[in-house]
Amino acid sequence: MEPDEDLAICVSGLTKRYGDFTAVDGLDLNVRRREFVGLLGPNGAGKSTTLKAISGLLTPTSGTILINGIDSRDHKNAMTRVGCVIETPMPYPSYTPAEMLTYAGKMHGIPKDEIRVRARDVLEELRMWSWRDKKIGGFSKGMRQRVTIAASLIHNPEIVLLDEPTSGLDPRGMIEVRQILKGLKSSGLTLVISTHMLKEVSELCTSMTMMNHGREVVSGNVADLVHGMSGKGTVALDTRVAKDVPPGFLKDLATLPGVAGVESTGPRSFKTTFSGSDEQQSAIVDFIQSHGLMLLSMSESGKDLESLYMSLTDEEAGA
Amino acid sequence: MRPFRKAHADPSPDLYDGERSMAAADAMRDREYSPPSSISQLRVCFVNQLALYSKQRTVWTAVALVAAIPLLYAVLNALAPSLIQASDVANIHAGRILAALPIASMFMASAVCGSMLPQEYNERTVYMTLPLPVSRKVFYLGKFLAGFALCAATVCAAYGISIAISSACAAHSYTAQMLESLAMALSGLFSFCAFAYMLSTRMTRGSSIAPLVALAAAIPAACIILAHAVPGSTCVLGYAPVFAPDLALSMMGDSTHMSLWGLFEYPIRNSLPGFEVGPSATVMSAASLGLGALMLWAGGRANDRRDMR
Repeated sequence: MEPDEDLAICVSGLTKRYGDFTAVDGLDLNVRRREFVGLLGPNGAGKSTTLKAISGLLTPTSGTILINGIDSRDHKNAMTRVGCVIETPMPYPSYTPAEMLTYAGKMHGIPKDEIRVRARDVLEELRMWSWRDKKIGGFSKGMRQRVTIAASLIHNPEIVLLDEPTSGLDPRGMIEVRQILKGLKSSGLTLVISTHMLKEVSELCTSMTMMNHGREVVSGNVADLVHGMSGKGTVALDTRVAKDVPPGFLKDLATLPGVAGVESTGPRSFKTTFSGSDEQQSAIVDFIQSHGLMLLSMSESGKDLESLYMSLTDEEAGA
Repeated sequence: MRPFRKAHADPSPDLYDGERSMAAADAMRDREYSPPSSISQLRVCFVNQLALYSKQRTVWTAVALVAAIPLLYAVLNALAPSLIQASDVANIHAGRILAALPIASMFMASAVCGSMLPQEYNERTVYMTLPLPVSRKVFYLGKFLAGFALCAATVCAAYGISIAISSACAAHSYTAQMLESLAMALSGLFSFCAFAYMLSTRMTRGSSIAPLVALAAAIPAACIILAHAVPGSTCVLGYAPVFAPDLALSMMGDSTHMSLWGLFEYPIRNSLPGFEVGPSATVMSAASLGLGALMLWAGGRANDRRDMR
């Protein structure tokens, strides 16, 4: 297989069997540079198994994995520019974050005087600098997660693999980790996360691969996949305006192309059942503005990743 | 591993925790790094494991074991002087003080090397290390060398203290034999550590009991029974590494030692004749080191193939 320069990770025909059980079945996955890919699927879909195969934590039954064009079986060279947080790793409880990052830094070949600089930088980014000399054993789960993420970033990786990074965290912890991921995304890294949290994929990822029963169900750009669901359902547009809706406005709105129905939900709000194109949706916004109602918010629900997920996993269950 | 507090001043109190204090260039965010050589990474794993020991009770347990020798000697000497009879020859006296060497070295090897890897797997700390650009062989070997180094240091310290005590009251000492005895004990210890370590790669949960029972009882008993059943086999079975500490203490001129053979030699000779501990120190050392290396290799293969589910 000729390595594509633009591909950070190239998985071809990945299969992993444990006896009679097939965890991953012939998966193909291409991750382009600077992409943020979400591996989405229910529990047992094979997401974590895929990431473990890429990171060398387990040996595939068959298939090939190239990381930056290097075969993953050459683990040391393949993982040089990769950072991983797989399966909720635990830093050594008797270590401090500084010691943990020193250990990781030495393994990556960072010179001694640079380890301190890099460690300070990543700990500050992850809001752990003030905890650098406290024992990890006394940390909360969210703090330990930040230490593991810091260890995965100390060597300036190009690719970061994260396996359910918000798993087991409280809401505050989840928000903090998502903010961290947004920061990583903006810095141009190639990111792959596995998750069953639809919100994470829809908010963070540029593309996704949905898996079920070890196989790819669908993959592509998140927005394209969601908006390509023509005929798979309509969306509800919950709209709030700054002025009272005048009489007759809703009736006129219902005549616009793509609008299936309109319902008043308050003197300054209404819900539109819509199944048209983006241009037709934009026309609704223009219509509201042209009546001087001053649009405050328009949120879309129904035609989203959740609908896609439910429909595809339902189809798989019936297959 | 020293804390950072001395290298960097605390950030300004006005600095919001979460803001980076360094510019990109100063923070070396564009720097690319290559993993060091396998030897360097082996050293990092080795030092890392020793650092972990220093933070756990392992080291202090080893220190306590060694410190117990002169204390135990003093107590026994006061309460039952006939138990550890002084001798004109320092070697013999030291050998008596080291009577617990066989069981103690097996215990140390089982406790230290039988739990290292399972502890990493069960506490999930291994998920921090294995995705790093380091081969599993280096990780495996680095941890083993640290465990063996700790056990070897303990045995050496025990020898040193025993020789110091015995030399203080003996007229003669034979240094070359002491060193040969120490070398024999260390080669036996190497095989014990390798055995416990290899066993741990095949267990979900670590066990200090299983390797200890195997080394102290099951394997010696099997060798003795087989030697009795198969005439002439003692020339091979007598060089099983489990008897290395017995030979080490015999080389010091002492015959009282805490092992299956040492405690039950006479009943065994009467009921199951045919077994003798191999007399050649060279062959015993070679067998211990060779079998130890083989077990280390077997454990390494199992570790390489282990899927981290």
